[in-house]
Amino acid sequence: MYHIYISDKYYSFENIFKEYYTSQLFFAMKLLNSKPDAEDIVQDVFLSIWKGKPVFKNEIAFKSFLYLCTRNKCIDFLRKNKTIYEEIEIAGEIPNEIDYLIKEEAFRILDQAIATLSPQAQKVLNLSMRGLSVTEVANELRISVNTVKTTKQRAYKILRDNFGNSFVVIMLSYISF
Amino acid sequence: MTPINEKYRQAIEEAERISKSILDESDTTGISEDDSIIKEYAEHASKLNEVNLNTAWIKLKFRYYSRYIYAAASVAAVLIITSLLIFIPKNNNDRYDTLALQKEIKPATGVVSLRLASGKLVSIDSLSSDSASLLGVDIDNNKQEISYTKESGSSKKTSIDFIKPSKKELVEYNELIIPKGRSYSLVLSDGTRVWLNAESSIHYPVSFSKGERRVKISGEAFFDVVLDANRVFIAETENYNIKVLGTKFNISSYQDEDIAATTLVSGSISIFTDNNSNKVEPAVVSPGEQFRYNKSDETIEITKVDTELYTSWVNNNLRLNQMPLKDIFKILSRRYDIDVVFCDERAKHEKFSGLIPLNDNLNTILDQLSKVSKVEFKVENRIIEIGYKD
Repeated sequence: MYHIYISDKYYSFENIFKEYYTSQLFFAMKLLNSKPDAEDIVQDVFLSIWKGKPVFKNEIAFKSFLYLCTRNKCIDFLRKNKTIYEEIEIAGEIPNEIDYLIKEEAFRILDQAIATLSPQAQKVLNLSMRGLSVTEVANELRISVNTVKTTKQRAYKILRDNFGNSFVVIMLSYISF
Repeated sequence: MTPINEKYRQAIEEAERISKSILDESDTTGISEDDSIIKEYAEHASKLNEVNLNTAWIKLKFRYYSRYIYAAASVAAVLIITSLLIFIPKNNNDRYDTLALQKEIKPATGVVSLRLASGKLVSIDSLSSDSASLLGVDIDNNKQEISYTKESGSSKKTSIDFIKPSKKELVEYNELIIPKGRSYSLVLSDGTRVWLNAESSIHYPVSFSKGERRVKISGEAFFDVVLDANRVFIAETENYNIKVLGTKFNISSYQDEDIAATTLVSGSISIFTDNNSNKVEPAVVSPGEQFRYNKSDETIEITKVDTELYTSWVNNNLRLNQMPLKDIFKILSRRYDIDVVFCDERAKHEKFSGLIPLNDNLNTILDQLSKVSKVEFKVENRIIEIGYKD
């Protein structure tokens, strides 16, 4: 089975696909404003990597290659609409593309980190991020306020300690989707 | 001007910093209005459920391996295809022997809704007979039918022409909306009966005016129009309109289909585009004929057909005569909440004839299809992978 080589490590292509598919999809969706077109393009991106089997110097090289590949295929697609394409040619960029990129990659990193936590910790964190207070989270999940507080504390500690060590792909988290 | 690759590298590094700051910020007590990036992250997290990674991975695998099938010459093809079936790496979850253990897939259940003239949406399923009378309709939950023909004074209390008969009639419109997996029938104020298939809707007046009877259809509907020589009946669809005096016909006008078709069982209809366009002669269709409109090249075809094939759905059956499996699944996915992946081109074109009862468990239907042909199914959650036995 195909493995991707990044610096001195190698990763199963299936794991890389499942790890990065969503971020590429959402990124392409922002550039194109269309889900079905974005799905086709992201499939093309991963297919060309699978066929070409490039080797990457390091993690940043891999990530920027991936996002650039998605971005370039989106530009090819946008070429169909002349006015949009002209704007891109003049500006040298798709409007807001860097902003979208930063956000999608930041969110992907967070998704991956949170997915390493226990299911309960994940629920607590997701609700907290939606702005629910500790009491509201406790009511929603039918657990004590204390449990919510300790779960949050532990979760944030784990996340902060492991931050930056998270290139390793976590597969299990995606099976539940 | 920094080249784009350099900008992307910098952006990737920036992303790592941003994700850490989102984490730090959400750790502190309370999320203020300024934290728009955290709100964006919460929105993003809620969209994750809509992405099906397993389906995407299966589709990618098929695309990657199918290029070998196309490239091969016919003699070598058999050898390559056989070796590929052995070669295709299996998921950890791949297990053919669990086919019998998977959950049964029943038809999708959704709510049939009625949009009133006021714009309010009500659920037909939960409408009591009292509320129904107030709206001027009869509901028969057993027959799954709603009727507007009640002529008694009590049910007309709320209609304007009862209170002020001298005023010009204000026409109220309702819309009946059928979701995936359901079907429903409706009796209009003149007695015309309309059966609606899954993922369809009909927009109609609560009470037809004296001049003409006009409705709008999306999706699929079977009409049994009451003969009224004084009032022509017009059914409008996205691409064309059908004019009748009294007759039985089926309209199939789904947005996701390339062809819109109308099949005439009895009576006579004429089909025209644009309300009063004099540019094109209306097409006249005779019983036993089907009018087909091709949306991509805008051509029209009228052919003799076995009308049973196109109207059997009214009795919750799907009658087939050499229908290719890919078309069968298009229809099935309106009834069942499934994702379909063809792992073999040959399976798409395998033809079937016979009768499929549409309210069976999908698994029963798949077993039958597999028994009489060379196609095989692997069902996981709601993903149906379709292969070909060699």
